[in-house]
Amino acid sequence: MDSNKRYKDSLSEDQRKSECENIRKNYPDKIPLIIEKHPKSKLEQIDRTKFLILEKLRVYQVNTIIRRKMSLNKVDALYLFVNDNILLRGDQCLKDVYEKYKDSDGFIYLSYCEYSSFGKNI
Amino acid sequence: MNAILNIVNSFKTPSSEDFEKHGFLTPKQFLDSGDQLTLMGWKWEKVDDNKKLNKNLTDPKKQFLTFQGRSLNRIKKNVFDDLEEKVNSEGFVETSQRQTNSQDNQEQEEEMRIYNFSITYDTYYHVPRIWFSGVDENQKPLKKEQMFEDVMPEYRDETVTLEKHPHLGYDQMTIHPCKHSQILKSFIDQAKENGRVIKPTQALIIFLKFVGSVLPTLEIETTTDLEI
Repeated sequence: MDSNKRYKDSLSEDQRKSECENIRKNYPDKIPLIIEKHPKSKLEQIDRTKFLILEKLRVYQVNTIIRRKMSLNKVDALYLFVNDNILLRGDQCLKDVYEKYKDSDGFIYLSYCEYSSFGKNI
Repeated sequence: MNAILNIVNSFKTPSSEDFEKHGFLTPKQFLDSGDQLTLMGWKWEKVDDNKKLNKNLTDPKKQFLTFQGRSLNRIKKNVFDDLEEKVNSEGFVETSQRQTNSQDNQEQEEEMRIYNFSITYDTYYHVPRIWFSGVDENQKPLKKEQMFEDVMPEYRDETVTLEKHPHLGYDQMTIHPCKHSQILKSFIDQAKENGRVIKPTQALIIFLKFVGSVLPTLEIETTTDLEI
């Protein structure tokens, strides 16, 4: 399998829908997310793409969950986008983000991208 | 190399096209962008003391911007002190609440903090710069270590430091601005690839997105999600 292929391109809409419905049934208090590398990112792809995260967690906590799975330079910031182009505010809870941006297949698609943005006080 | 470039650029006064090219703001663009923030609850402050005036900003009544916001829930602990993660039978990475005793839960009822933010214009790097300091419920100023509880753990100490505020004259927490133009530039570039244009007047809104990633629990962003 092509490791660069994104989840959405690897399965048909019906397949994705039924996978999502299934998981929603079993885990009603958790949000089904697909988390992938942003096309612009030079970071490695994290080893898993399908996540179930507590709906009360906030975006910055999801950021920490992802950040922990990679080795990121300390001066790099990690940004989370929905559908590759909507930059999320960190203090929103996942439930609200999901209601606003979930895909027609029931998943919400997040991508992560690094930006060297921090100065250091030398 | 970047360091040399920074020094070279710092001697130049940016032109208005340098926003798109380098992520620099001219003093005029800073003022225009600041006017946009005043529509979202920020306020321009004047400076009376001639010595604390930023002379690049032509209007002494518009020297820096201020905003007061709350801290909602602090990043006291690593998020994984409360969470655990496993791969479930369906192949999903599942996060769950770690079972804790009731005493821990009580501790999470935290007092509210109020933060005063300000944005100044950094003449050396040609970018906005954020400053902040907070008080507890009894109006008692927070110590540096306490304020770090509102900073993402990765950025404590190195990125966020205590320095003298150019207009107020006393120490405040601040994010060092030497990379701010790069972040603005990367937002501009990405928007361009998506067929959108980020105007210089939006610079401070973008800047607050970036600040929000360092200080996620503070009510600083009065805007919503940003489509780029």
